[in-house]
Amino acid sequence: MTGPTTAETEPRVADYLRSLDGALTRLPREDAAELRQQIVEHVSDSIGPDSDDAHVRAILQRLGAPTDLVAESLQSRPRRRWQAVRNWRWQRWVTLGVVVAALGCGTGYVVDMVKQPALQTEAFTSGWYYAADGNHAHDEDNANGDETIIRERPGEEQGFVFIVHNTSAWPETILGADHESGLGNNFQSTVTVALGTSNADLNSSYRTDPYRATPAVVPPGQIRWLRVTWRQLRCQHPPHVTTSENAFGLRVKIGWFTHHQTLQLPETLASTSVFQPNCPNN
Amino acid sequence: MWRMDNGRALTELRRGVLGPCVLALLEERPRFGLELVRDLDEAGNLLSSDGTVYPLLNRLRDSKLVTSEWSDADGQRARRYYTITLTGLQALEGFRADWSQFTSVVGSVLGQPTRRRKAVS
Repeated sequence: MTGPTTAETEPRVADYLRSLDGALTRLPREDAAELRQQIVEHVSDSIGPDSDDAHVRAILQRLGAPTDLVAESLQSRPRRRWQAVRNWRWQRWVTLGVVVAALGCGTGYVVDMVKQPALQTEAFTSGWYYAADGNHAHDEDNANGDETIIRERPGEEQGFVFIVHNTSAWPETILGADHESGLGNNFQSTVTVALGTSNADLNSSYRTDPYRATPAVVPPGQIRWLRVTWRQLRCQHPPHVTTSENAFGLRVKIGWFTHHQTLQLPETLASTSVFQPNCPNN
Repeated sequence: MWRMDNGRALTELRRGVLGPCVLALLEERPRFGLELVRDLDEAGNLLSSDGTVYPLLNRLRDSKLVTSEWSDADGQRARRYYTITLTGLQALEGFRADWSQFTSVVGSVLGQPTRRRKAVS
């Protein structure tokens, strides 16, 4: 450990450094420490063990008054931004504190908004929307598990339903299908999304629940039937082509932000194209 | 009546040229604080007080014209040595050019009055 140098313990030097310390309070802490060190170094280099009182006094006199050194330092260096901040009155600090607290709360609010979970699907709660489709559906085992297949209904509206569960603490507003999900591309038609209006339990019927076109809200903690319908174009597919979906994309707004949520369907839903007269791709 | 304050004018002149003079000394070789003070003093009383060289050195370092580094060059004790940077060298060259022109102009005005005027008491 390094103790004070001989020069620093000399009474006149110690007095000078005390005065300097008082004057240095006008400088930023780092600048003050640096200038003090430079002065101590200067004195240590100038004064030896044999220096008499007159010599010490002359060295200190030539150094200049501590207040002059600090004034010179303040004058010759650009005023730093944080130094100006240090001179703020308490009212400004209070205002800054309030602003920081408000920003902190706002940030927490936004982070909470962004971190909310996506809508969930429930197992065994999907099916074809029309009874006729359901009656004609047949199940096949595919690589991913059950796949329910029906025939395409070119020129007619058809669709499927499944349950979505909002497990978040925020209302989630379904804005519509996310056409990047692929469904719209597969069927080459406009996909319409509608949402049940009551908090469905898992045994409720998707047929009796009234639907509302999107945008529609799933309140926090509630479940809703979601209906997806489209109208297949004629002659779009040659006969016996199977188109299947095991996921469905939605655009969902939570708070201020719109998310693209891809929901895994409870089962793979597939349709097989049929022969249509007068189609060029038969 | 306005009177010329020679002491103050000299102080302002010193203040203006002290930075370039320090850079010129550091151009020769790196120096530590007290060494610079002594050399400036020997050159002709360029410092109004010895301590003022340190705020100046800090300003030059903040402006990237010099760097400082602790070194124990004489094997006795570590000192902070100041070294001129490339930017400092360029600034010094610029000042030399300006100074030459400035002193020439000031010298011609001060040293060669175009006509004598009657002194006003």
